[in-house]
Amino acid sequence: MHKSPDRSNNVQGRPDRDDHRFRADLASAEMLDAAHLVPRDPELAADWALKRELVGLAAAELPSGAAVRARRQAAARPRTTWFMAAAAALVAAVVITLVLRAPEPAPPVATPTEREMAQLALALETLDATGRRVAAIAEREVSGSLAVPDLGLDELPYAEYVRPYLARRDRS
Amino acid sequence: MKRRFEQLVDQHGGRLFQLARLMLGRDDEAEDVAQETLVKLWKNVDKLREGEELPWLMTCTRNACLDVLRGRTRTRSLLHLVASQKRALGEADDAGPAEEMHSNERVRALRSAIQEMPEPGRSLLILRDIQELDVATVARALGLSANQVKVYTFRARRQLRFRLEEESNAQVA
Repeated sequence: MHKSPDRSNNVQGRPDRDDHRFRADLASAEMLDAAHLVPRDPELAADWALKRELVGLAAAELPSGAAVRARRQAAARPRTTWFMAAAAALVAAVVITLVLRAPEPAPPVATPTEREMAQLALALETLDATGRRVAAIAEREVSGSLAVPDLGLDELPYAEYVRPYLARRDRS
Repeated sequence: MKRRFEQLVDQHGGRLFQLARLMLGRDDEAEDVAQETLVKLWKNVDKLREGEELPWLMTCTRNACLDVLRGRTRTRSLLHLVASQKRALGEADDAGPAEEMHSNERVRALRSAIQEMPEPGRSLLILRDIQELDVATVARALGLSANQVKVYTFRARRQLRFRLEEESNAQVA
């Protein structure tokens, strides 16, 4: 039967020589596969002898217990995978929690110099004195215009004791 | 599932172990690869269609072997070389009759030469010539066309023969 050369791995532009060689090798390979007797061509005869020698190499046997071990291993793997996945998820959860609950970074501690402390003290003192003066002026200016609210003291018991106390506070 | 798995292991377990052993040259690594392949088989045995199992097994085994070969460092290879030479010397000392010794040496030389072959020639020689798998199965396992399997196997065999002849000539000289 005629068989066309295999071009499946042939690239375009490859010389025809390769095609010829492929065809020739294919013919030789098929001849060797079909040969029951030593071919006449000495090269093919040597190939034929080596082929027979390779066939004669002892077959190997799978070591005993390999199949059982493989089955056990296959059965054990999903459990191991599940356990590893659970452990990884737990670790990830702990890490995320720790990161989210981490305290705010503390502001850097600055040590003011003596000059800065003196400036600060002066500023506070100035604010305090100015504040007091402004409050006194405002009270003086406004107090005359303000009517003392009627608290209804007369209706309360012991009003005579409370009234002098309130009068003292109004003056201060 | 268990029954089919066991059937497949009985049918093809030896083949895949032999493929791994011939590719890697070490029984312990070959056993690891075979076991890994069987684990994959156990997980996929329900999905595999009838007749697809052997190419699938061979593809898995070969890929695992190629991964191991890629992962080997030069240092490890050298250590392995020293160890295998020591082992070979030990085995040679134990050998009895001269013919048996010669035969063992030839087998060792063949295995070693196959192991040193480039891909895909090495896999083709193991699957086609040693395990005598049919062209269609090998083509499917290696992702090649039928004609490519035939031609590449032919070329790999010839390359192997030249290497063995060169080694033999070197020893004589």
